[in-house]
Amino acid sequence: MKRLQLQRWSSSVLSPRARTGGRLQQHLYYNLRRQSTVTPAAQAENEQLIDQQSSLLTTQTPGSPYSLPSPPVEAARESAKLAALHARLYLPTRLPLETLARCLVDSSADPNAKFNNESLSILGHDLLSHYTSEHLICTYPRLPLTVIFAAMYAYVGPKTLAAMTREWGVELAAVPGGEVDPGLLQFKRVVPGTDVNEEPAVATERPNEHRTSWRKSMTSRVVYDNEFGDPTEVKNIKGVPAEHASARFIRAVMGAIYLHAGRPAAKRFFEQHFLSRHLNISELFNFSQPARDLARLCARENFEPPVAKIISETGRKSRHPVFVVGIFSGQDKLGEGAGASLLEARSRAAVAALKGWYLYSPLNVRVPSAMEEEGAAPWKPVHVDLGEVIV
Amino acid sequence: MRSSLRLLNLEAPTLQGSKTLYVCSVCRQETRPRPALARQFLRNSSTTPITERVRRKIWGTDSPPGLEDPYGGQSVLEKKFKKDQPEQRPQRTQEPDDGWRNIDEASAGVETAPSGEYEPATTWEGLARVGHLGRWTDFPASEVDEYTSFKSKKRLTKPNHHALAAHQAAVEICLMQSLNKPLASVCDVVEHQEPIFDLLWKCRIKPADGQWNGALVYPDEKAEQVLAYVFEQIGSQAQTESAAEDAAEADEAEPETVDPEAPRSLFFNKAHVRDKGYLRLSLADPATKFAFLKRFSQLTGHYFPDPVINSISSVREAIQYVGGELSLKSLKLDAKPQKLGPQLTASKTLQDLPNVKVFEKRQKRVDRDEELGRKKVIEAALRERGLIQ
Amino acid sequence: MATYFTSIKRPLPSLPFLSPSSCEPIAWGARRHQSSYRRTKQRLRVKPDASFGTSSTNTYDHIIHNPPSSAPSVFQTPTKFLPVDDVRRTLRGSSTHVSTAEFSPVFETSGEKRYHLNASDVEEIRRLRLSDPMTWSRWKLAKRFDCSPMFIAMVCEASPQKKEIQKQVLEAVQSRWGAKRRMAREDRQLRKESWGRDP
Repeated sequence: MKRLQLQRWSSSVLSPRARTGGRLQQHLYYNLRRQSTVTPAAQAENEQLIDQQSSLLTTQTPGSPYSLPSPPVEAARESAKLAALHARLYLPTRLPLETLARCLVDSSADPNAKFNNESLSILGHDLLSHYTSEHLICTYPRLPLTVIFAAMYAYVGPKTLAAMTREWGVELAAVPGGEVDPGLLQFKRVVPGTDVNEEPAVATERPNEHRTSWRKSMTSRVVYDNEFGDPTEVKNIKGVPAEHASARFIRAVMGAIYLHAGRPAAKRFFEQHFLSRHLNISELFNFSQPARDLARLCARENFEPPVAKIISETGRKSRHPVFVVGIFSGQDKLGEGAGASLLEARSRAAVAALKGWYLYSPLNVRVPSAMEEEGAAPWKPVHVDLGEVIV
Repeated sequence: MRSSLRLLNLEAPTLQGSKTLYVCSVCRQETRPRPALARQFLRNSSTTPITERVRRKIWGTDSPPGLEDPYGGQSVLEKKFKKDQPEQRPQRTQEPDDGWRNIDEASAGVETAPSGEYEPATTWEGLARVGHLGRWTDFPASEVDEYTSFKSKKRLTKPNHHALAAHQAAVEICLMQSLNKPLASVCDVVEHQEPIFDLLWKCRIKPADGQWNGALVYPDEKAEQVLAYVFEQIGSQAQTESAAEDAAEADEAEPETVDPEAPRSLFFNKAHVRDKGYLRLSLADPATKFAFLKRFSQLTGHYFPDPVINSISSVREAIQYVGGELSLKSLKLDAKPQKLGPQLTASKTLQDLPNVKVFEKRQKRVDRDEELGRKKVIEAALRERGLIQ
Repeated sequence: MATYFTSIKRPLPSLPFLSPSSCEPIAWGARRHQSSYRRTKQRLRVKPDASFGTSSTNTYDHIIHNPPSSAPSVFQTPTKFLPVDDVRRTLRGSSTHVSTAEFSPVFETSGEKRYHLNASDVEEIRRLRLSDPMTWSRWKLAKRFDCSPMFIAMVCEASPQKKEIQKQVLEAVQSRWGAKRRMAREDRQLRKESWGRDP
């Protein structure tokens, strides 16, 4: 089982509501915005520029593959790499090699929407976000929003998808073109010398975006930002990092499977390749004041106020004492923690109690998309929680 | 004892007759009289035997009277051998010496050096020569250096000679077969003496169905006995040598290798073979074929390549090959094997596999570049610099 | 009688308490060796756990579950935190209830809220704090009104001048710290942050 890398921790827990952001919706926003801001004349100029570039690059006759921005459709049947990838992933036979080849062409390599993977990747992205978020929310209904964002990032974030591309054995083409083997991932690389660490241009539909000192609430991220709670990056025309191109390829494969082989195959693919990766959600938490949060939680839920009690201790006067402190609410033990000081042990016990609360998972989890199948059992409402603790 | 001294006196114990009793190397070093050189170095060192030091202390001088080593020293037997040594040594030195013998001499010289004043040499003159300075080619060739070819030095070209050689080989192998001896050992005798050869020549071969068994027809009874006697000795000469000495007709029958230097007449001026029966002999049996072709190759001086050996099936074909009538081309052996690339390209199973691609040509770096798409960039850069048109 | 005779038959040197002090160390060493061996052996003779081994009551094959002591998993939700309709709540029953009476609390003061201050007290607190911030610090106010400093902070805020002075005092104190103390303090802070994060 592959272990998901923890790319970030959620910060403290603040928001009461969770909703997945629709990527398609955002995409539509974008195009609208772009159409409103970019004048048609500038667009035409842009296309002209692309044409010039391609004509500069391809000095060969128009009939040769060099004149094409991406490999021709017929080349897909000739490529051994493509067939090997198809077989390696155990993709359904209904997904033709030509579509798989199209999944490997990034929009930066071929701006023509009929030959690049942009549409497929948008579909795949929404499917991935949908499946992952419904899995997370139904399995752990009490998860705070920041933890959901972090878990989403760990499951279907671009870094994970790029790692999956490498695991699938997909190689990257140096420069896109018609003569390139269709089994290679093709995208326009970032020009050498570009500062990759520079702040990427981000854009949200947030009002008062220019007021940088204003606090951006966690709830507003659900609406305005992407499914990881990050502001969406504006497309960079200079080039695409390999990470983004790899992520788009994987999403496009997901979309292609959904289109060609249907919903069950797509769900199976998702379970086999994404959900099968191990993620320890309990490591995603980060509490700054666990004792206070726990007190608030108990007050909200009408439990007795939590009391920290020493369960056992050793070496109180020594250099390395160990205290085991349990947090009790009435007669029930909520959590237990060990530490080198009473404060640490109490803090850890409170963290354990809070995690016990947030990581509640109902039995027999069913996700809403399970109802899409034929002859599904009648739907029973999933557990909906009051939300995270707000102090 | 220091290692350098040890090396210097390596040869000494062998001279002192270690046949009588075994003495370990440490004891040998202890008991052996030291050379003057060593003594000079060792005067004040701690390696002086403790008995000697005690004696010196007792007597108060560096040269105390009495036995040098009253508690040990050489045994009576050793002393006796030491007396015998002067008799043996001249014999040793009379042995023919080559360059590498000088090592022995040098060490022996140190061993027997007079215990007088040691004078360090200032020039190399008069010193023993050890080894050689890259001029090993000047030394005369020894026995092991010589090379004698297995095949005869001269290649026979005339067809009647080929026939004679083939007949002789066939008769010999038939004989060996009838005597039930290893067939290939006929090659031990390169050339027979004339009377033996005459007898061989007179033999006829009448193979039934190309078989070797019982194909030989002797001219008379006596020839059969003589040939049987002669060929009995081939292959096991070491055992039969003493018996051959006792035998009356030993000197006439003993096979001898002819001196390769002496001029000789080919096949004792026999012009042709008396019968053609040997041509029908089959070479189907691999052991017989190997023995025959080995002997035939030895007699004629022709070389048989492996594919030819594989394709020859009778004596006639072997003669034809030697005579040039049967060339490699007619045996269809010169056709080059099919290349792997076209073979794989034509293969149906590989063509059906979608994830296998067979290239007709060798894939080079350029092809890899093109596949990755960077070839056009490289070419553009080269063109920009004017390096290609 | 018999024991008396056997003890008399014993050779004298084998009884260490009879021997003079000069040969004491040897005798002690020998005795100690044997004694400590027996002691070790006795210590190791621990009675196995009740679930371990076959008992007369268990006639069938059974599973021995004797896990090493470790912190409980956070994925096991405490019974109190389970929703009302969850099956596990009834399955567990009251077996998880432990008597908490014998555990001593971490803090002596009870967390009971008293609500003993009224509006006039709060006004008094604010007045005192504004009038002489140097004298009436949070701690002193808390002591006087018998409440927590947290409550004082909730009720009123120090004047900006007082904050500035306090900041300068802190800087002056911190400027006297050497590298070791500074690093140790920073490490302590980092460790404290990791309490809420580490498993």
